Amino acid sequence: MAPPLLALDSVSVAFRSERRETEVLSRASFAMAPGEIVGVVGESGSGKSVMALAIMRLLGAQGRVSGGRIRFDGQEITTLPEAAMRAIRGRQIGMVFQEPMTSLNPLFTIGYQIAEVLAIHLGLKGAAAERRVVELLAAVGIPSPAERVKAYPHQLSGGMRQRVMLAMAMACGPKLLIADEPTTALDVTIQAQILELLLRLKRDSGTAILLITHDMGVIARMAERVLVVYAGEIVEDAPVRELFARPGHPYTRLLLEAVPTPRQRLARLPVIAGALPPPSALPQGCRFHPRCPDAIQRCRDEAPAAFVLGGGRSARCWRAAELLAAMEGVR
Amino acid sequence: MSDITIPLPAAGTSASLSRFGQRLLRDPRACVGGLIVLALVLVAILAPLLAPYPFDEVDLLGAWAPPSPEHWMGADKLGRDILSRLLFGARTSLIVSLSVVAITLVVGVTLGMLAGYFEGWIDTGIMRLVDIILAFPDMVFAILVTAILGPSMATVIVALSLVWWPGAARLTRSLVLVQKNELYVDAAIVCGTPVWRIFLRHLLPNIVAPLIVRASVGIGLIIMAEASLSLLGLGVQEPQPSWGSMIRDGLEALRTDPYLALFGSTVLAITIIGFNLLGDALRDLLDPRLGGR
Repeated sequence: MAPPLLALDSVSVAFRSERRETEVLSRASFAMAPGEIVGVVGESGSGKSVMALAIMRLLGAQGRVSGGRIRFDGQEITTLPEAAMRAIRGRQIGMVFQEPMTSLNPLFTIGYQIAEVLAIHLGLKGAAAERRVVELLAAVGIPSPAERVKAYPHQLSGGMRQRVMLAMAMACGPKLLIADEPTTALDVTIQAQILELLLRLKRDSGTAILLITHDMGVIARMAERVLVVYAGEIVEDAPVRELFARPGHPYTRLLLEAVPTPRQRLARLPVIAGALPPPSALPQGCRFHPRCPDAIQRCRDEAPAAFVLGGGRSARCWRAAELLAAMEGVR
Repeated sequence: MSDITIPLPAAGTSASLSRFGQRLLRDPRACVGGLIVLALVLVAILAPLLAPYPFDEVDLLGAWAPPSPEHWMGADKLGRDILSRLLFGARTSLIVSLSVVAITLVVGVTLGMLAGYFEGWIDTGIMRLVDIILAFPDMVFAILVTAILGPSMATVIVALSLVWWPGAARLTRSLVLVQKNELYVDAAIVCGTPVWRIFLRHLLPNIVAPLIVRASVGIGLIIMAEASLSLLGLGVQEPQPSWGSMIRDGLEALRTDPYLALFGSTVLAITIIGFNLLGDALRDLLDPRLGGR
């Protein structure tokens, strides 16, 4: 197997507030191959966005990587000087955010803003830059790109702006694209178009995509592998087919059961009882046990490690193997 | 955003500059304000050619003369021609107010942006200094500085700049605190944009509108502040005229001979209105979201 493009090794992230430090991501480990699409799912506040910010080293003054190592393209990036990190951002790793409406500077034309990235990393200027900008806009499916170059952000719709953001993120041909809920703020038809575009960009340029979302449907459609995040921990890491067919962690199973399907005729949608605990008040033992229907005494006492289950998957659950075997038996 | 048809801006800097010029000419506020400011600048430059008398020609017998064909705006307590002194005074007032605004904007905006963007100890350091200066009443501080440096026009500029930059710094800091949490700043960072470029290219254009307003209002206030210092004998020295000191002189004789105060104040008011109109228009024209109304 090729060496991983991105590897997180037991990465923890902590935020400081009022003298106290709160860990919001704990011992996250996973690896991504070049060109792979990895989906990250989890509830709001589970730590999935923090993981992306940690990779980009954008945790701000309050946050820091409190443990572990992040390797990108064979290079340790947690200890890299800021100038070297800047050369990676935008060049090697691109990023798009959830809110296309505010991600563009309202005072400059979109062409200018894309050209800026080209100038910073590739030193591209003048007519050459302009040609490249038009190419990029065409590549992300913006109609009449040669005229749109001169449009201001407020003259574009949300879907168009997200395409512009993608053009900016892809401008220098990054090896990794981090997409933090890229379709959440868009309506459903536009969502489908943007997802289609992401798949096409991946096919054309071989860019690996780390896709953060809370939409299981998006995951099913896009991802090759899935990380399920709960309360700051990666609770399951599995190929997408395996995950949907036989979820290894009770939380994943409950998440999937909560997705409504047209064939079900249920009076009420299933819910997961309880709420996500705040990172400052995590329960003893397994972080999911208060909400877990399968919890046993051991779950209350001891925090489980991430158990490797075979088939390229792992789950952070004491009973994962046992529950999987039981599921197998039902079939 | 009231426009329904949104014209695409023209390509290239020179073309968009000429578009900007057209929009400027279509805006009545910009035209009126611009004409007033332009006239002031011309008057200040051409004062020796335009003035019917030297600004320091004393005629004690003609003291407090009312407006007449010889003295269009009358004469002051020493019989000096008010019109001539107003024309020359434009130089003092414009040099002082424009210098102070320029200095305070450069210093205040730079320090305010550093404080707002980096926070932490840089912020604490700069803002405590700002607090210390703002704790003194403006005039007391300015008087202290002029008393130390000795009265002259340069002193007035230094003193008023020292008093005025903290306000600009505080305003800039608060504007940056809002803007830097906007996603477009994060988007610039994830694109690997260097910090100086984020400052100049992303933050500054987005906070410039309130700063222009502050600057255009500030010009009037600074002219008045210069007058107060001149009144105390700490500013521009007699016989050099300044609008502020002329208005002060005129106020003493307001009941009997109102012309000095009247004409002085009128000129000052027109100046302030001119700068405000121009500032307002520039603020709107510089914002593409308003579609260049």
